[in-house]
Amino acid sequence: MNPVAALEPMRALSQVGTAAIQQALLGPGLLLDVGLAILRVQGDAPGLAQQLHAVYRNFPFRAAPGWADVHLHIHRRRGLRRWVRPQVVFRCDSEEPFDPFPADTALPLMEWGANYLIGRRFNDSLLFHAGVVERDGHALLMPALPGSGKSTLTAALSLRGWRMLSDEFGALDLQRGSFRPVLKPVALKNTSIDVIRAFAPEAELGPEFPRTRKGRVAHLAPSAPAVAARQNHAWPGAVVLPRWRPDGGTRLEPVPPQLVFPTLAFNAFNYAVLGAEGFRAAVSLAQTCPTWQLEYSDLHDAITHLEREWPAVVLQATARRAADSGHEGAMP
Amino acid sequence: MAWLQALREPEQALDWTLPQWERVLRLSRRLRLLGRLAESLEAADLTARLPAPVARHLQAELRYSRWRTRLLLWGMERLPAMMGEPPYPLVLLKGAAYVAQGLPIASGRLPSDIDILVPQEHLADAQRRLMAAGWAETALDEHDRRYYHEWSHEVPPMQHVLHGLELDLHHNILPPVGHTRVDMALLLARLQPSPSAPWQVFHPQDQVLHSAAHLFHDSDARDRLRDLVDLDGLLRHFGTLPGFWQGLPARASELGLSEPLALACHFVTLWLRTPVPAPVLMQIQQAGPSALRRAWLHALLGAVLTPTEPDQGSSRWQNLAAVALLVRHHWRRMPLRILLPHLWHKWRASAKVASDDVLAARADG
Amino acid sequence: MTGFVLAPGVLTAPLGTGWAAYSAVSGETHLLNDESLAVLEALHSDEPTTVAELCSRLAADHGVEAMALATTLQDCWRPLLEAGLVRHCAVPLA
Repeated sequence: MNPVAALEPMRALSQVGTAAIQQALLGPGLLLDVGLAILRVQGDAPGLAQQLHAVYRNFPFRAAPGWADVHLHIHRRRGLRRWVRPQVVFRCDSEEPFDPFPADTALPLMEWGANYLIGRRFNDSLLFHAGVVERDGHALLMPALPGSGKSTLTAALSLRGWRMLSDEFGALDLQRGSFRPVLKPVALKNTSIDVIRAFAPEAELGPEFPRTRKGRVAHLAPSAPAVAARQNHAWPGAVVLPRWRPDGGTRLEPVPPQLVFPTLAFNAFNYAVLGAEGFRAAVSLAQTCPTWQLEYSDLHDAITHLEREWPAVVLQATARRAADSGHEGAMP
Repeated sequence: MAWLQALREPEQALDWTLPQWERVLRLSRRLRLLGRLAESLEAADLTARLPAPVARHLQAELRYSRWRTRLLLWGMERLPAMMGEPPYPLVLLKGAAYVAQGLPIASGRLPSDIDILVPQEHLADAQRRLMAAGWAETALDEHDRRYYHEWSHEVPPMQHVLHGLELDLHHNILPPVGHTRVDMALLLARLQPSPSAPWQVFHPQDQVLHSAAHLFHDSDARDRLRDLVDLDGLLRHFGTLPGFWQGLPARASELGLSEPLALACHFVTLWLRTPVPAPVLMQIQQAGPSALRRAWLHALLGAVLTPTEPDQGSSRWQNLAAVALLVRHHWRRMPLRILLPHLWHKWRASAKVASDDVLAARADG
Repeated sequence: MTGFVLAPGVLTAPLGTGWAAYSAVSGETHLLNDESLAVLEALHSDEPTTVAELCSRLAADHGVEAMALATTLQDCWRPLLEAGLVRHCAVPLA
């Protein structure tokens, strides 16, 4: 290790040039600690250094060596496809689980590949497919259902002062009973991109990828405070099933436990793997967390409604934990 | 490959540094041996003494492997009833057989499917019963479907409409077309009951020979180190049975599997120090391939069986060896006139495991 | 004579108007109505219960006609068996 480097304070990716990032990618690797896991990224995929510089801008710059849980290579495809309609390939531990992507979509490929691997490996948590934000130490869980727009709502909440934990994984730590961050850039698709730009013009969005399999994709960079807090857990607070409706106001409709449970359990990456533990954890959430279907047409109004409910949510959750364990106000 | 010793002597792992652990976790995960390592450490009560970042991966894999094993056991429990209790033998093969018998190598497996075998004359009936119970052939293109039905010893894999567990139905342990023909009547004559009635398994010697044949006759010998580890485990476990070693070379000869057995013993004794009794080993090698043939087979197989380091793709030498073995495999399975179009087709459609379906399932809702 | 036993490792939990049930044997999770749960609760995990015994037990617990129950129950065995919540068992002759 370079002794001089050890004396420097930790700088964010935004503060080091893309050249340094590129050097790490072509060399020992760039380390990204997303909370739940440490990713190591390497490879000569064109544009990747610039893209990471944009969407992981507030993450500390750390180059390998150093422990990593997941090892990703995003590299140019060899042979003819290096020149003719060039492609990039995702590799992890000598395996290439996906077909190649066009070379100008290195970041989406890396993000989806990383999500795939996280969902497969980290069975020390129950991984709901959901967005999670935190306020007053408690988590708001938004399961990913078709048409729910959970990424849009997650992004909007995080731009209105809620701390983002993840837009993809509701990682419930089984031992502690609290949610932990899996903090990665929020993947916004198609009209969501425009909606968020209109909602918060100051939002730090990365480059737009016009032609992915899911349409247009752009990523919202996690904020500096969210990055700084990525090891902090949040107690379960409430579950919200968002539903965007073009016309009409905002409605919060309670959802009964027998509907919450299947929504959560069958929409989790590793519910089945976790057997009895997964069952107990999902039942507990369904029984104790208030759940609403949120119909809305205006993001600002939707968030105001949620913020109105939140003090009661926090009170209820805190009281319940105190009753269960006899400790009040303990940090998760 | 020194780390393989830790599968049987887990205390060795206590000395590993974090970088060493990082490499072993990656290698063993890809070789499908991580679960085995995790169970080995757990059984010796050592997991808690390992660094936290390491222990969590081991425990996560334990959960995953135990879940897959539970699914397999459940499938085995339900199948005979789902098939309407057929009046002919139902034989478990490979991993399913190891799990049913509770062998040491049953621990930490990642079963992805159930391999079962029925006598060839009952194959159509077995398929019919399975389909009536909700099992359907997985979607294959026309070429692959023809390959299975005409040339292979299996029918196309079947999946259940509800739970998606995959089932491979065999009527032979090797394809009937090609050079090596195994007389199934000999194997079926020596079936043994398993602890999970009505399932039966092959005689222990035949389980070993099947494992050896499968390893060296299958098309993708890369990353078959796990199968070698299985072989080593089978030999160590069954080796304690009276008469096992003495009868093994003769049985191999009877089934026409002397060459795979010789190749298998070469590698397990060399890499895993399997304790094969010296006189038996000599008999086995004498019945194996000639010196010249042995030389190039060992070189090829050795190159291909050696796992690639996690940060490299296969070396060029490994790729050539793999191609040579792929050709050899198909040469033995199919007449040449069929071989060439099939190989071309296989390469053109070289499947990546997860691709679109997984992306569709995992990407944002 | 066949009877039924509760499969090992079954977990149940109340959820609003219904119940969730987990089977350790199949690894599956199912949502049950009150009737199915009553059946599970009336079975033992160590001793098989015949259909007749089950009917009289349920009839006594819930104040219903045992004969009527037998027909209703006919349909419930297959899903419970396939879910791994219940197992078939030979009943030892007295």
